[in-house]
Amino acid sequence: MDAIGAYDLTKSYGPGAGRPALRGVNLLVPEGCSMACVGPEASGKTTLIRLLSGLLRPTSGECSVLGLSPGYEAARLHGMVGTVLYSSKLYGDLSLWDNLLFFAGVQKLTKSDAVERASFLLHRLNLWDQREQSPRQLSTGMFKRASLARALIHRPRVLLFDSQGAGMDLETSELVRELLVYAGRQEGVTLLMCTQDMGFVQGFCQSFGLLHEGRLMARGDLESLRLGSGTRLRASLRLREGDEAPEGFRRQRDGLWQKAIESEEEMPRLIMQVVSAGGSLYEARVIRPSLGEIYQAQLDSGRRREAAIHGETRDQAQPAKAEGPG
Amino acid sequence: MGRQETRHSPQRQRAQAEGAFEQKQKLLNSAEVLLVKKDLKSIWTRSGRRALLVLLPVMLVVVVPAVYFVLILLMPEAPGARLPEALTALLPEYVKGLDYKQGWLVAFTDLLCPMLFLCVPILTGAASASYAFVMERESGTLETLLLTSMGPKSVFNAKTTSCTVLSVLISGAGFLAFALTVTVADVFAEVRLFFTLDWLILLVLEMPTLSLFSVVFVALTVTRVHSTVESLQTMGYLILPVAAIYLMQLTGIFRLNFIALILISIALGVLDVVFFNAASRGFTPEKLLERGGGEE
Repeated sequence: MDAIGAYDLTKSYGPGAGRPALRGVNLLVPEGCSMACVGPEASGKTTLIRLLSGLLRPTSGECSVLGLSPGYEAARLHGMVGTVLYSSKLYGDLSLWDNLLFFAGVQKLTKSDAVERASFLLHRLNLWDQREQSPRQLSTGMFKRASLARALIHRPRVLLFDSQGAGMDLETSELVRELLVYAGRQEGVTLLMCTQDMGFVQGFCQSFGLLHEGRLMARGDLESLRLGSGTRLRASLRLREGDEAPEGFRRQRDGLWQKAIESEEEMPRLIMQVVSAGGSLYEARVIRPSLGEIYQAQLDSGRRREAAIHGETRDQAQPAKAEGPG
Repeated sequence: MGRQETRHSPQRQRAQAEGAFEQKQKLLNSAEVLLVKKDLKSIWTRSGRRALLVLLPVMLVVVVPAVYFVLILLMPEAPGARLPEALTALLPEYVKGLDYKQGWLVAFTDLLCPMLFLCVPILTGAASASYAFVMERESGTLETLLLTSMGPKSVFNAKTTSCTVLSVLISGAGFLAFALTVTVADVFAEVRLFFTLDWLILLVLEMPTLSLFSVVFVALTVTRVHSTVESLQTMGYLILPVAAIYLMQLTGIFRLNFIALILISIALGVLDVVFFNAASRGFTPEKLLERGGGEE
């Protein structure tokens, strides 16, 4: 069963707003799975989360979360969905603890359940010592963790997480990752995370969507995205100083020898080649491209395709132009 | 999951009907009660907001009348001086038998003090609604509330209730303070106590309807104003008609009697319903947050 679905989802902010913030996005996230939509600023990430959480209505297309239409059944939806948005804040005149208890109460948790859940989340996110502080007194990283605690307070089945802005600090990044993994594995939470921080999501999300200027360029797991973008694996060898690597390898600055390969099946043959030539092989491994590299490759191939199309159009247009005056 | 299943399945319709039934059982559900309490506490515990909500009413219904009464009592009285006849005509019959100072005291209490008193529900209603709606939108907490299972209508109901309750409570307390001030002045000046049927209508009908009107008026403009300060300025638009009606009495064209006050209260009640529904319909996340940006 798909927990999240978007079908040709498009959003324009008014008639004079230029290009749509989101254009024809299609995606499905099965229940219990985690997906990350990555892209730079102005790629439509926040708009996607706002549409799925019912804060915005789509210009065209539709979306559903747990079988509910976010724009029409927002109240019921938010009982089962937690949303983290950079723009949704906590009350500055309440302590962090009171904020969590207040939102737990609003989500109709009993007092004892709310206390138990808030304690658990604050401990997991290393915010227990800050519980009596106002959210205004928290650092940016702590505030992000506090917002996550607020969104998870009612044990949602789906978490929509918009990690806007710069990447998280090391502690926040580690704690958030641990909690998201725990929520996915132990509580069965379906996650849709939108972020610029591709390194952060690469490790724990099962599928990815590559957003650029409001379009979903590609989606799938890391391997299918790699294949789709044409990015190749690299064989990396560390040899004794002075030994030469087999043909096609290039020496890197760090002393390693690297070569692009089609699949990891080539690796045993390459190792055999080095060893049979009498070389001393200290280390051999396959380097997989990062999500960032795949994103860039996807973007570049898209640009090349676009350039080719425009080039063809120009080539076709030029003779026509030439014919006109003659 | 099929796309057709996303709407109007029988289970969902039944759940919605059950939810609606539960909602109708109580005036406010538990989440709304929690939000009402939080809002009342939030408005009242901040010293700046409390000062505005207390000092303005005290100024209007205690300080201004008290200063006026002291000035009247200290005013030198020319022998045989009487209240202007045009003014006497606007006042109850028994005023003709009163002396100059007593006449001015009754004239002020009957003709101008209701206007001062009615400014209190307007000011407190509009100020508390500005804090509860506009300031929350500015600070981003309204968006967080809209991400809970309360839903926009429920958030609107709770906020309107908390602001109206606060405004009515402050206005009620203001009236007690006013009554005390005027009673002391009446005792000193040896005139009949001020409280009449007109005041009862003002207190029981007009003040609550005006409180609610001020709150829903601010709520109606919440998507149009840019800041809390701009929202607080709407108080001016609300005070102006009230002041105009009471000051126009002095021209002698009409007199706000018991029936006129009841009719005004009914009209305000009708406007409350119309504005409440309009504001509630406009209280949608998309309209509320469209100025908020974040359009990445």
